[in-house]
Amino acid sequence: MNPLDFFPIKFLNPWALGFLLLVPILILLYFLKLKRPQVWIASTLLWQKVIEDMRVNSPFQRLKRSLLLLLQLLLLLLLIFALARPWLKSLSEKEESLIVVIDTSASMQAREPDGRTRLEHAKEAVESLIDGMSYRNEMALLAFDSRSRSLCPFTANQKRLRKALNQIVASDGLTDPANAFRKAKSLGASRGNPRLLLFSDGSFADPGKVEMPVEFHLVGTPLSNVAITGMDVRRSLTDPKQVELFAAVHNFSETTVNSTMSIYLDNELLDSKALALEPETSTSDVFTADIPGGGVLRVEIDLEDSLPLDNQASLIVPDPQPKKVLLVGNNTYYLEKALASAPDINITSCAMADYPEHADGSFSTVIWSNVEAPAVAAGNNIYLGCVPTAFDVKVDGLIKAPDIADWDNTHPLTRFIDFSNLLIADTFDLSMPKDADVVLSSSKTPIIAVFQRDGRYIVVSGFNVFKSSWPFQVSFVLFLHNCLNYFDAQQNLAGNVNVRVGNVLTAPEQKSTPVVRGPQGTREEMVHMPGGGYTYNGVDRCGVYTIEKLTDAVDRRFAANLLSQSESQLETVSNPISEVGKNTVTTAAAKINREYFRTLLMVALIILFVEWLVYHRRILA
Amino acid sequence: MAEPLLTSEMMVRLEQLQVVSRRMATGRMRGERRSRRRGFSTDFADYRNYVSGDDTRYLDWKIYARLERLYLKLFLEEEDLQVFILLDTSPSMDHGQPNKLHYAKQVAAALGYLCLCNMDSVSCQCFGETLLDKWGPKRGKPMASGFFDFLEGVSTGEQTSLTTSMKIFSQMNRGKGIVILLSDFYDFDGYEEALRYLFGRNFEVFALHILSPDEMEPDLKGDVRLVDKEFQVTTDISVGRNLLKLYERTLNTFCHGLRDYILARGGYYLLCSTELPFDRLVLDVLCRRGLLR
Repeated sequence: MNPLDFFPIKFLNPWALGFLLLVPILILLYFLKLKRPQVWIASTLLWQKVIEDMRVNSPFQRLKRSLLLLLQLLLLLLLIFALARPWLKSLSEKEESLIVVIDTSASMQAREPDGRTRLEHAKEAVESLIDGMSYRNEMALLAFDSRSRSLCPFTANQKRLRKALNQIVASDGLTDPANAFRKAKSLGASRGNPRLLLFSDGSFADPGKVEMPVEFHLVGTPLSNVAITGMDVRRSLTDPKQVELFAAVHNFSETTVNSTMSIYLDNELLDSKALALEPETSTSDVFTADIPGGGVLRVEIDLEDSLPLDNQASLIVPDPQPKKVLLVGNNTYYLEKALASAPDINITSCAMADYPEHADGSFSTVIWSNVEAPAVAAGNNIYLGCVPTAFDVKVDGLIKAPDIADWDNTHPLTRFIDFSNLLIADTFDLSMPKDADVVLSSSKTPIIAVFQRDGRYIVVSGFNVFKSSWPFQVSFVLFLHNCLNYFDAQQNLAGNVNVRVGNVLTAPEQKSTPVVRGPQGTREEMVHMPGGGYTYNGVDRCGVYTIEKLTDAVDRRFAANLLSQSESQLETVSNPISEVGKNTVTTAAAKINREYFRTLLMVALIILFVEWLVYHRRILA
Repeated sequence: MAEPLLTSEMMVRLEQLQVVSRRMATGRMRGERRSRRRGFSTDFADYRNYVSGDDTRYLDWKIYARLERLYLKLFLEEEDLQVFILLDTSPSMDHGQPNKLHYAKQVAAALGYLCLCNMDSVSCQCFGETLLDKWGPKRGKPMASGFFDFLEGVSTGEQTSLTTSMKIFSQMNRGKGIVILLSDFYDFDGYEEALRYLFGRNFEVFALHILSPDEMEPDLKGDVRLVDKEFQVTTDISVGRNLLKLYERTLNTFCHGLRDYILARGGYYLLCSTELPFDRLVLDVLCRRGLLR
C-alpha cells in the first residue's frame, strides 16, 4: 500500500517529494559556517561583553540570526510541495460547472435590426456570463454548426475563456447540435452539478432527447429573408455542349420581393432574369447555356437582406472528358462501328482472355458482348447477351422468340427509340434487382434493364445481339449513344464536385500532400488517412474549393453551398428541444478535486520577497 | 629611515610648556617646582612665632612695630617633579591606523621632553604582563636624545596585566610624583585594582586612554571572525545595526567607567583617538585641559 494513501492530501506528482532531501542539505550548509573572513582586532574584551549582553537581553537572538534559514527552508518546502501538485476534494455549495454551447451555423450570421449579427449577440451574452463568474465557478465552451468543436475545457480562468470566445467565427454550415450535446454530456460527467447553456436561434431540427438539462438562451428575432434554396446543373442529353441550370429561390418574407437573378460563368455574366417573389413562396427556373468546356457557374440574387450569404450559389461545370470505352468480346466489330459516330469517344477492343490487361479502371464504360462469365469493371458496364454473376441478376432459363411487349420511351436510355421492329431469337429469362429500371421488356421477362451500383451504371441486355435484328437498326446505335451520354451526364455533373458546407473533400493516395485552396484564399494541406488517400475537413464556407498539387497536375474544383430552407428561414424557435434529461445527482454540495499548487506558489513568492527584505536589511545595517 | 618621534619645531614649542601638577610634589633635589614645603626663597608663604635660635634675618619688623611681638617670615621652597611615564607595550597597543603604540611613544616623547626641559625627573617604564624596559630617571634637556632612542627601540611585548605591572611599579617607586599612564586599558582582569595601586601610593595619575579609530567606530559587515591580537581568542559575530549600537554602548560604558573611577580618585583622564594628531593633543588639548601650561 502506498504510504501516501494515508494522507488526506493527494499529490499528482509524488516524485517531487524526493526533493525534501534538499532540506537537511540546506541546514547543513547553513550551519557549516562557510568561510568567515578573519578580522584582527586589538582585543575582544569589549566584543565579548557585547555578545554577552546580546545573549542576556535578547533570548531570540539566535532565532533572529536563523530567520534567514527559516525563511529559506519554508521557501524550499513550499516549492517542493507545489511541484508535487497536491490536491484535495473540496466542498462548495455554490460551485457551478457551466457548459456553454454556442450555435455558429449560417443562420447565426443573420443581421438583426441593430446591425449586429445573432452570433455577436450570443457572444455578448456569454461574455456577460464570464464576467459574472465567481472564483468557484468554471466554464467550458463548445461551438457547433453541422459539427461540434471544443473551444475551451473547464476552467475558472476568465481571461482564457474570453480569448476562446473571441476566436469564435460563424460558419456557413447547417445546424445540428446533437454532437455538441453528446460532447457536453461527456464533459459534464466529470462534474457534480453541470449546467448546459445553449445559445442559438433555435433553427434546427429537434435533436430528440438530450441526456441532460438544457438551459436554452434564444438569440435573435424572426427576420425576413430571400434565399437560393436549390440549384442543380447537368449537360443536355441531346447536346453535350449545352448545360441546363436549375435554380430555386424562396421568399421567406411577408411581402413581395422584386429582384434580379444573374448567372455568371467564371465571373462573366451569362444571363439575368427579373424576379418577382411572392411572400412565403418558392420560385424556380431553368436556364440553358452553351458551355462546351468547364467552369464555375454562379447564381446571384441582387438583394440586400438579413442573410446575404444565401443570395448566391456556385456550381462546378466540369470539363467534358473524352469517353474511354472498352469492348470485350470476340466479335466487337459491329460495336466499334456503332460507336464510331459518337463524339469524344475512345474505343478499345479486346478478347475476354485479354481483359485482365485492360482492367486498370481507366475506362468509363465497358461493354461485354456475348462473353461467358463477364467480370464487373470499375466504370459503367453494359452486358449484351451475357449476365454478370455479381449483383442480383438471376437467369432462369432461355425464352425463345420473346415478344416485345413494352419499352420506356421516356427513359434517357431508350428515348426516341422504336423497338417495335426488333426481332430477337432468344433471350434470358431474367430476374432484375428491385431498383432496376426495365427499359425494354417482353411479356414474360425483362429484356433490357438498368440500375446503379456503387456510383456506376449496370445495363443488362438478356439477348444475343447477333441473334437479333438489332445491329441492323438505327435504334442499336441510338441506344448505345444514349447509354454513354446518360452515364456522362449523370456522373460528370451529379458527382461530388458540388457539395454542402460541412462535407469532407477527398483525394486519392499520392506521394506529395495535396493542398486545398479555400474561397477566401486560405491554403491548407490535406490530411493523410491511415488507410490511404487524403481528406479535408475544412469546408465551412460557401464558395469554390480547389485541390491543388495532385499527381496528374489537374486541379479539382468543388463548390460548397448552403442551399438550406431551414437555415435560410431565419425564424427563431424558443423551444427547439422537446425532451431534455434531468440531473440524477442530488443537490448536495458537489465535491471536486481541487489543486493547490498555485496557492503554494503564491505563498512561496511572498516568502521569497520577505527573505530578500530580511537579507538586504542585514546587509544594509 | 624612520621619522623621528618629535620634530625640531615641536621640540621648540614643547620647551615653552610644563606639566601642571595639582599637588606640588616633593623631590629630593631642589628643582624648578614650587614645593609645599616651606623653605627659604623669595616667595613669602606665611608667619610663625619667633623662637630662640631662629634666623633673625627673617623677622618681620613691621609687625613688631605694630604688635610689639616677634614673628618670623616663611618662604616657599622650589623643588623638582618626578614624572613617571608608564607605556603600555602589550600586543593590543600594536594596532590601528595610526598605530596606537607609535602614537603613545610620540606622546611619551613629547611629555618626557618638556619635563626634561623643565628639569623634572623623568623616567619611562614599559609594561605588559609585568614591568619591562625602563629609562631614567634622568633630568635635563641633554638627556632627551637618549630618551628618544629608548622610545624608538621599544617594541611590542607580552600580554597585558595592568594589575601586576602597577603593583610592581608601586612597590618599586615609593616616592611621590606624576604618573602618566599611556594605555588602551584592555585587560580582562580589569583596571580597578591596577589603578588602586597607583592611587594608594598617592601618585598623581594622568591616564591617557588611547584608542584607534576602528576601535571607536568599527567598520565591520556581515559574518566575521574576530581574532584577539593578544590572546589569539576568536569570536564569531554577525554584524548588524543592533550589534554595532550595542558595541558603541559598551565602549562608552567602559570609557566612562574608567573616567569616573579615575576622576573620583583625583586623577586625570583623557580619551584620545589616534586619529587626532599627537601634536594637537599635546599642544592644544592637554593645554586646554590644564595638564600642561
